[in-house]
Amino acid sequence: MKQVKKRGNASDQLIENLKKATNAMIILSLFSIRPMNLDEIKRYLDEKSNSVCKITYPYAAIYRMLDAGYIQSCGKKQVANQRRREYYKITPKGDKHLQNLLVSYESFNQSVNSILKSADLERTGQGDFSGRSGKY
Amino acid sequence: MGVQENIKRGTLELLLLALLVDQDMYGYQICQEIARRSEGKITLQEGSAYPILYRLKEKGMITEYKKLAGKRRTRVYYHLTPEGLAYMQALKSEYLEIHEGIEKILKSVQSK
Repeated sequence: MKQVKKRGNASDQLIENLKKATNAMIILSLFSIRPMNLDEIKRYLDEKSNSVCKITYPYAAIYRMLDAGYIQSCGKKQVANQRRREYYKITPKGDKHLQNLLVSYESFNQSVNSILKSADLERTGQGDFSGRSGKY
Repeated sequence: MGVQENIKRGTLELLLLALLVDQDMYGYQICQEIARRSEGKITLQEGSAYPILYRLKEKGMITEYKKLAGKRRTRVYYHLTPEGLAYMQALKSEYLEIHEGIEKILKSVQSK
């Protein structure tokens, strides 16, 4: 997944790791709707996330999931311009893996939010940045 | 590496900086606070925290100073700089934006 709205180099590491963490979860969740080809996956992500989540080159992730048995090919179909596209669908093993990923993601996200929120609350209680406690 | 490990790697800088918004802390205290505020779901060993703290210090996001704890022991406290606060806010916005994008996708999947 490539996040297109970058703000310089400040958050490159954040984006890269979030990308690694959530790629499989997002792609598997799309395959849980119905079999799709890779163009559909890319288009869907771009549209639904308002271009925040964008996978430009999903092949590596797809091959990893095929190897792991989380998805399987369900044949090629002809689309516009005489081109044939390969379709993939989620397997029962992939569905189970997806449920685990969703639980992990939700749990971790809640923890991150609670840390960010507690920092916000304590900051609000102490006024502006210059009023923080501690030396300096 | 699992989903949590990758998100953890991506968000540790953000979490460490967020903790320093309200008060200066020493390394062990930072690790304890992360565990406490996440109810034990996110754990960080001191040995893993220091490379991040050193990196943030080199970038000018935090500074450090020593403070006597007891009669002989000194602790190294970390302090968030104005640049660090701005950096933390940028990381936080980015994190929330990405999370929102992911949530939109997951919700649209659930509604199918």
